[in-house]
Amino acid sequence: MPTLKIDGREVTVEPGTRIIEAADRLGVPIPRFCYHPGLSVAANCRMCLVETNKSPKLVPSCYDMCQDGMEVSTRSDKVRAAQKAVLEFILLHHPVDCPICDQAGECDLQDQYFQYDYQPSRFGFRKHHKPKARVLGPHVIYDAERCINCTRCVRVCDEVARAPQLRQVHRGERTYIDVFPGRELDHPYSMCTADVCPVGALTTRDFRFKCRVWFLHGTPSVCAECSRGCSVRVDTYRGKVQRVVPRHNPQVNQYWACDAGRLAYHRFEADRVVAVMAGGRTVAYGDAVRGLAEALQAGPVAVVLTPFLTCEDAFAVVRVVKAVAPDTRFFVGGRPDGDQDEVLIRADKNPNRRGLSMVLAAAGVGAEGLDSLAGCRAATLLVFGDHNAADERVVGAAGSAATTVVFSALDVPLLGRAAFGFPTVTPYEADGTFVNEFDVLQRVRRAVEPPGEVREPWRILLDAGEAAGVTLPARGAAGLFAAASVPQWVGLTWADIGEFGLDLARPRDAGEATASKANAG
Amino acid sequence: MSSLVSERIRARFPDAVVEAHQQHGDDTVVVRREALLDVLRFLRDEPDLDFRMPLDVTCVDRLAMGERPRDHVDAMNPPLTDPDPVPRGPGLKPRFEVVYHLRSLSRARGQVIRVKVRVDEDDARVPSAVGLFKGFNWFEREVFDMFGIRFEGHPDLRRILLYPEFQGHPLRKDYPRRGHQPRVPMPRLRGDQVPGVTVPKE
Amino acid sequence: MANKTAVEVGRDLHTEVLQVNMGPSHPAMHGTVRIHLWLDGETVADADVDIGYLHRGFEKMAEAGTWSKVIPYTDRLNYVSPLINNVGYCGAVEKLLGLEITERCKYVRVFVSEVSRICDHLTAIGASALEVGAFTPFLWAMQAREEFYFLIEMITGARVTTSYTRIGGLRWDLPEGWVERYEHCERRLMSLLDDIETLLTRNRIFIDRNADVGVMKADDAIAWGFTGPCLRAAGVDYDVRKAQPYLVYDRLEFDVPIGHKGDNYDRYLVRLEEIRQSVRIIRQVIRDIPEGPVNVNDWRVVLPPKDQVYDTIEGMIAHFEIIMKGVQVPPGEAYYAVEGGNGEVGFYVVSDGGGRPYRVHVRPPCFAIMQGLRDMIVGGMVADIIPTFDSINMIGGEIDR
Repeated sequence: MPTLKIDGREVTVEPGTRIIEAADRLGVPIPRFCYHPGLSVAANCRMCLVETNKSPKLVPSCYDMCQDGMEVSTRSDKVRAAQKAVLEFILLHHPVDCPICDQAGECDLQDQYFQYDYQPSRFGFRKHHKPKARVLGPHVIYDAERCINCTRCVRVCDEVARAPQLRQVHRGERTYIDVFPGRELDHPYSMCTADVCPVGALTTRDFRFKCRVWFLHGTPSVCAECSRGCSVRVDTYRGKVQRVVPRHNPQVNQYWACDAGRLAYHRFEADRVVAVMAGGRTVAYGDAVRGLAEALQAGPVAVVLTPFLTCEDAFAVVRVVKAVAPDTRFFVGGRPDGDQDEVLIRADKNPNRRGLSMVLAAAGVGAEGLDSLAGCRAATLLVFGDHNAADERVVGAAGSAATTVVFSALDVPLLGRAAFGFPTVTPYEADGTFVNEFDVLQRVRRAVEPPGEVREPWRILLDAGEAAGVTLPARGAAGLFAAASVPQWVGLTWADIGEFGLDLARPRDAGEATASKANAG
Repeated sequence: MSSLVSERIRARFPDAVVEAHQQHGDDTVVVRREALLDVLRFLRDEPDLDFRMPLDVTCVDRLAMGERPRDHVDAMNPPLTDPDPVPRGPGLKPRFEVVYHLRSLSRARGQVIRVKVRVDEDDARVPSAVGLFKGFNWFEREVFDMFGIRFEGHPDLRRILLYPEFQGHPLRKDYPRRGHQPRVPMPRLRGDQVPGVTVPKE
Repeated sequence: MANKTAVEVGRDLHTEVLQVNMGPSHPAMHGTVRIHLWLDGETVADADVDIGYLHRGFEKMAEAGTWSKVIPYTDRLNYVSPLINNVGYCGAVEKLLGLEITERCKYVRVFVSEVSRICDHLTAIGASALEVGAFTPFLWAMQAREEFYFLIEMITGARVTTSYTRIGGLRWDLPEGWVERYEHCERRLMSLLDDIETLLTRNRIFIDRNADVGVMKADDAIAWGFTGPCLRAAGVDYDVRKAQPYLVYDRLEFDVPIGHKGDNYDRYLVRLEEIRQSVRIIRQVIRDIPEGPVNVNDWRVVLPPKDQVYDTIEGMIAHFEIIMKGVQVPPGEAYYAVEGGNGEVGFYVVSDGGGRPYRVHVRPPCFAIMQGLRDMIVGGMVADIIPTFDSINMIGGEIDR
């Protein structure tokens, strides 16, 4: 275990630790461009040079290992001079693009120039010109002039996506990044290249010129596109989702997210229902709730659940429906399976199938598949989720049911025919918990306010239950979570779920809940 | 012997001084609340100190103070873009720091001493220094108004800049910048009552 | 009625204490302040000064933007001498940064401060004549002030909302021809000042209304926290420019006039003399001001020149970072005081390390002085409130913030 000193502060690290990692652990700032904790080391930007007593020259701290007795200086005169020189070199041919660059405001180059260089330009010549606004693929655009050739994007394609589609081309000051002739940057993680880009060279076509980053309000949440449940940050501006970017989570998605997941918010931009419907016409919410309560009391009831419900929603639905109509049969639908890969994307395209089954199991409810819906002779059919409402098995069952109640975020044909249609929240408007395929419990947070009459399913069921004389143990999502008495999370509250989520498969000890409370978001 | 006033205070009240510094040349002592009035009286009455001029009383809410997470510990995980541009830190305890500035009229002409007292939120009380410096009267009222610090023994502790019905204390860090206040009904005047004004005692 | 007996008349003249609201909207309560008066006949039995009608939350707003974004707010503190506030705030931030500004900048800041002080005192003097019915001196004072407003406009681009200083320097250097312009102003000022003095200083009515009115003795004045002309009129030889010299005041020769009674008349005389001392200071500034840059050469603090911003990426980034993220001020606290028109304007600034102020507090001189107003008017006549109120030259923008 080497023990070394960084700027006079002593630290002991495991053998094989890079100096920059030890410094990060101490909180000693070392500037960097090409180093990324999730990627291999390239050591080509030279921004992280430090002075050590083990070498006569400055060494790249992202590459050199910690040695016993090493004394590292990150702010000596020599290092400062090197940092200034590196930044001056990187900025030599950098275009004056900040006002039109999407990265401005979250740009490492800007921040590090301001912190470590802050010198005027000495370059009195014409700047080099390279390709600008070059379309690399369906989701990414490249500006070669802004590029500092750190090769983070190349390494993302090679190492994370395992799709070596990007390479450096040409040499020296003419170097830039490009795809192979006739090919495209089209692997499912192509937008990660824009995330890791420390400057504005790679930008996503989705977010390009959409909003300046300092107007964004970020909400830590969970991606609902597949059962991986990647940690994401939903950036919003004026009540609209502007982009979704991955959030570091060592036990779910590391630093990455797939393109499909971060473009999923477009699904909810059109065809939203925002009013409570009854037979194709808008109706007052209170009337619809009373109608729902009467339909539940009329029974027999069948409920088609979706794994898009949060755990809190699922608990409220099951508890209220079971209390009003004890003989209810529950069916679980959801989106059909899709592609799966070795990186992040899972075949199950639903975010909360595990959580739903945990809630159902805790309530003692046996769930059936949609195929058995045909034999179900229910007078009242409750359908959750737009995909379920579009499923032909559900539509068939709705044809034979006396009363159909649809809970959907999107406008589906069944909504026009249903007795009652309640507009419900999207995953960006939901506030609750998801359990992913690997039993990690995570908080999904409300990034945008629901429009119009849109409500969470638990709230609608709470009101319907009260109309039918049934009360829930709590009148808020956080309370429902704690009251759900699901064995996997009994005794926990929302505050116990840290920023990385809780691994429900791992046994918990008593101290952990309090420890995670401290860094709860 | 050091010429620093803070050292004089430390020598005279060894138990009272929590902390002292001379950052940017401003002589500063943090004293315990119990000793505040003694320290202020000492500063005022000691002939060679002669801190007779009350300059200022204010307060700092340290709720959002302290080390903030730095930007590139994890380059992929920048701190969330904050809609409220007030910098956020974990906060320091005790939460409030009541800051007194006094100026000396003789010693090294114009020297300023800063005396600070730290109090916590659930015990936001400070002995009033109005008995020593009547010029602190309005300043303490302002701190009460803006931070909700109660100055015990203040002759006339009521809101000064805001109206009596105002809810909350706006310079606290947890008071929103665009905080809305409930509408105050128009007072009905009866006889010689004047709303919001108590008749000073003679 | 004609046939009332003397007893009946006496009964009608009951002597109960009458409560009167003076202000907040009253022509003489400039700056919107309310004095709740208890009157015993024409004598002021008691008074309660009620401020806050102009409260704008300066200190809360200051916490919202970057350090530089506070500068325009400081214009609105003492809006009669905004340049002194600019100088005070920037000086406080520079103290926190540990930044030494350039020589020329120091002289320019002294120059604009003194010009502002002249405007401030002219306003006070003119209004104090107006309050006792003398309209002509007021017009003359405004005329002289107007000349200086033209000068200020020529220097800063605005008459009142100057925002001239920047952290680490100034918005720009003094313009071409500022000396000539100033000399013109000074000639007009001196002739008008002589005229005003001729009309007021030995004017029987003016003296009767002001002498021995609104008296504040030296010890009381100190205890109340008085600073500036109000303190000096009470006979205390105290001026921040002498007591704790900032900028280059220690190199300049000037006298601090003091009064001896602390009444309205003394305050008038002190202000009058301070105008002449300011002129004396400015002449020395014109004589001594060195050539050179007005801004420190550090792109972390001062915005780069525009050609560098538009043509080089380095300048562009520095500009962007200063505007968007702000000057990075290390954690700490500092108190920086300047001599304002009404006394000690102190800025107490706290940083937790970053581009935005953690706390900005201004110590307004009027705030301390206004709490002494009650002592100055109680026991006097109701008509004396107005000249006394004026002689302390309360500025609402500064007191309420």
